[in-house]
Amino acid sequence: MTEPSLDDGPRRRLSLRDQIDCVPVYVVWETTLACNLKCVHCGSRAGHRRAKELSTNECIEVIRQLAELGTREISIIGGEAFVRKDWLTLIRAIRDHGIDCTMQTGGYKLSREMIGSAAHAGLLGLGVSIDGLQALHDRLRGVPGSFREALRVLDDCRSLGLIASVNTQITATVMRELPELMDVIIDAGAKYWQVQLTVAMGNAVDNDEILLQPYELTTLMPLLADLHHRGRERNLLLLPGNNIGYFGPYDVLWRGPDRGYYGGCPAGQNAIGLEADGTLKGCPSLATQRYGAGNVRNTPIAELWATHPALQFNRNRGVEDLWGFCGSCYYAEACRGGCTWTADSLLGRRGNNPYCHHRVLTLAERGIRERIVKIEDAPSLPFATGRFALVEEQIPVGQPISVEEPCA
Amino acid sequence: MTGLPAPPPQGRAAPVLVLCRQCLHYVFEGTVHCPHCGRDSREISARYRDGGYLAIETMQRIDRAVERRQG
Repeated sequence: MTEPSLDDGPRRRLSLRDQIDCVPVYVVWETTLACNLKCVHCGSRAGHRRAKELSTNECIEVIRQLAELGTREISIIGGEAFVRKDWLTLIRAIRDHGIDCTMQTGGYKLSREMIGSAAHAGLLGLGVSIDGLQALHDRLRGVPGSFREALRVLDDCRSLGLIASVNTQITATVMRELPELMDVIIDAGAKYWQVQLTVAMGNAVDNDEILLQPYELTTLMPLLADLHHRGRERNLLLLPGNNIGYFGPYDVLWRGPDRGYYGGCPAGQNAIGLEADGTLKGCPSLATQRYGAGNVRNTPIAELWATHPALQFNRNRGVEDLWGFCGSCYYAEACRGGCTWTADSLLGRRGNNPYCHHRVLTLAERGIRERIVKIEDAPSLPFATGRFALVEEQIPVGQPISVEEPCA
Repeated sequence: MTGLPAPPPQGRAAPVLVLCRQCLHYVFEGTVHCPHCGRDSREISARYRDGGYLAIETMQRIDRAVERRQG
């Protein structure tokens, strides 16, 4: 389970009208929970298919309803989307309804012929998950050889003329590998590189040593800025995921000025997540228990979208949900705590997000940093969350406090 | 299924932010004194002008005006 990426081009870009009318522009759809990888950070704990996954006909009906609501892009994910026998039928149906279709994959056992068939069916772009160099990637993905397979998929995309992007989970161990990884994926044909922080959910709670500490953003963000510059020189666009932010000195580099600025989490306002059994959510990654908004089998999507309380939380853009540092932040009204998934999964409640560069730098000016500590494991269920405590502490003596100038 | 169709959902748009023309941090549109650098965020610095931000800002203003008119 990874946030899909392609360039946020005009079709995906949100207009004023999209926001006011709550058009579900972008849908991320877990078409199956079956997966051929065993990722140690998987929030959905993918592996086996769900008990009652939607049938082909039910999926096509979902696509029809989404088209009526104005959806412009559907990203199919898993699990591993191509494990479904009807995956090409679904891609074709999405395209036939005038909706862009992209797919997110680990790439393992995705042959060149299958990629060609998907492109022929109307797939516009393929996002491949690569989480480090070979040893680290194979360890995190739980299958030896998965790194080589992912690179081979990128190469196949290039030779078939299909746009390929790479998604990378930022874990505590990958930072030092990122420069070399960038060179590798450029050589393999990637044009877009989306990075996102690994979130404390599912398997990542079991293996919480892989989670970045919030204060490590002082190291990560300048590194990403440097890679952004270097990538552009080689025709690779580094894009921030929804949980990379917010309003720090480098936001202008990757979100502005010509690309806008962070406008808050779109979950439930302009984004929909669908689980394979038909459960609807405002974002595919949110905890099902707190954010499940009914099932498309029983209720029309338009009705759920308009009325279900679990989808409303971002629509009036109030700041009453914000707490902690985010509650009194200058950017509260615009940012609203950033990625709902990240904050809610970590602290059990949305609206206070320690993974924020502006926050980390502001606290550092006061000599303070924040650290997370696991205090409760997550149940063995998809999209399950544990519990973490946020510890505020003095920055150790001798530790440099990096407060950078904005990047021009 | 319920009887009557639900009314269409309504949301609010994100507030408009612009760059402080002095320090290039984001500020809310209409801000005079930048909360980050303390200077007049409307005064155009050489860094802002020479970095191409002024031209981009102009294009963004036009885009927003068109969108508001269409909205």
